[in-house]
Amino acid sequence: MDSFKTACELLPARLRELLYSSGRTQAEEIRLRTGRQLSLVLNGRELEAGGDKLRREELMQVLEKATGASLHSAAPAMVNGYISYKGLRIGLCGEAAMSGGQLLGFREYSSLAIRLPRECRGICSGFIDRLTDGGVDNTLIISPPGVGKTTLLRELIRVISQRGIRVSVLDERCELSASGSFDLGRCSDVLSGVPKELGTSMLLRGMNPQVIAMDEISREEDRKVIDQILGCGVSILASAHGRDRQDMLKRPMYRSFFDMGVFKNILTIYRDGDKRRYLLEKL
Amino acid sequence: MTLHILGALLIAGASLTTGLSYVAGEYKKLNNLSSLLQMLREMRGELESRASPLPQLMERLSRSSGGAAGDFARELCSRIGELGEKEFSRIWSESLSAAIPALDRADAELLHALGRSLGRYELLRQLAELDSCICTLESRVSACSAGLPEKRRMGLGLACSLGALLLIVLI
Repeated sequence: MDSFKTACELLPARLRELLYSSGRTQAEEIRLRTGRQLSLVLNGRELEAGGDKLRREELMQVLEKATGASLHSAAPAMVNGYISYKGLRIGLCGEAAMSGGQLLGFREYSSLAIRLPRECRGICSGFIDRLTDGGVDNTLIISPPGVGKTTLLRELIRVISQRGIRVSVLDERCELSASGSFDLGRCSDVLSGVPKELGTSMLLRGMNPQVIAMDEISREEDRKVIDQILGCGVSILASAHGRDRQDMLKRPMYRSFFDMGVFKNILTIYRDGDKRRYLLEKL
Repeated sequence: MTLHILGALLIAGASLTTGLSYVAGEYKKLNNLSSLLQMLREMRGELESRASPLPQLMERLSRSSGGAAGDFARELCSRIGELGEKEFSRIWSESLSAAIPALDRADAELLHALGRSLGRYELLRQLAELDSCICTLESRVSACSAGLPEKRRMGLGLACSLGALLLIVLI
């Protein structure tokens, strides 16, 4: 999948030209803010792409293209702060419309963050044998946002599944497989767009998985999902936001996971200049 | 004498045609509004029950709607590929102007305003905008329908009287 090209398709002609002329095809994110220049995130740093400031209509054009001019159809995903377009995740900010404590949508949009997913083959070659030594144990990938949790998880799924282990992928945000655009290996089954709790029951009942993989466990409801899988003889491959294991201990849900010894492998991703480093801890 | 009769016949024919075309215009206006009203009601139902994406909804309407609404829906579907380069509201307005150029200014403005809300806001707000538009159109259709016999009489009467006057003056 060429996510840069897909993102370019999404933008109006003026912004598309700017993006192409920037030549930064390795960008991790495209940021659009009303009244500001288009900018790109590359190796964690945000760089302006030049050109005129973004107009409100241009932001709306991007959103309309992404949703087929039907923001109401994307409302369930918008509640979580993003919409999906051909495997791209588009984060939203603006003036929200609330009713009875529930988010109905947005009255005005001020910023969009288009995340560009990548396929990075071979990034886990340095530790995959140690990680899968004696089978695949419950593994948690930790890193701050935008450092590469989803990319690493995607590659781990592919490698493990290529080794003949059945991996059921619970792709709630349609980002891991990007609607089939990424190869997740020969023994992977992908369930997309379903909330984790419902999806876990479906996979456990129907797919006879050896490993269940899911991105970003962060909410209190996700604790139930982990509880559901534990004791079923199925391993968990998951990711979470955090700087490192010590940082995660500040949050009750993760502290209880570590206290219970739920995760046997902790994979932490660090930035080292323009590169990523991976630290595997066996607990 | 033959020329006088021929001239008189021509004047009478022209007067009648003017009257009839005025009446036909009024009928067409009523049909356009009725068909648009029906389309908006269908749109509302689809949005409320299924929250259908607008391109699919318009595609369905282009097949199910007749008359002016069908023309409009087909025009909009043919332009929907411009999404991303143009805002939906602009595509909506351009399609409306291209498919139903004879629409009254007030009716056209009402529909242009609706296009600025569709697909852009939360569903409840879109439904409220649709309700308001349907309500206004309903009252216009009723007024148009109620005034039609009178307009028909007036249009034909005026045209015929004018024709008769011309005849008398010329003969």
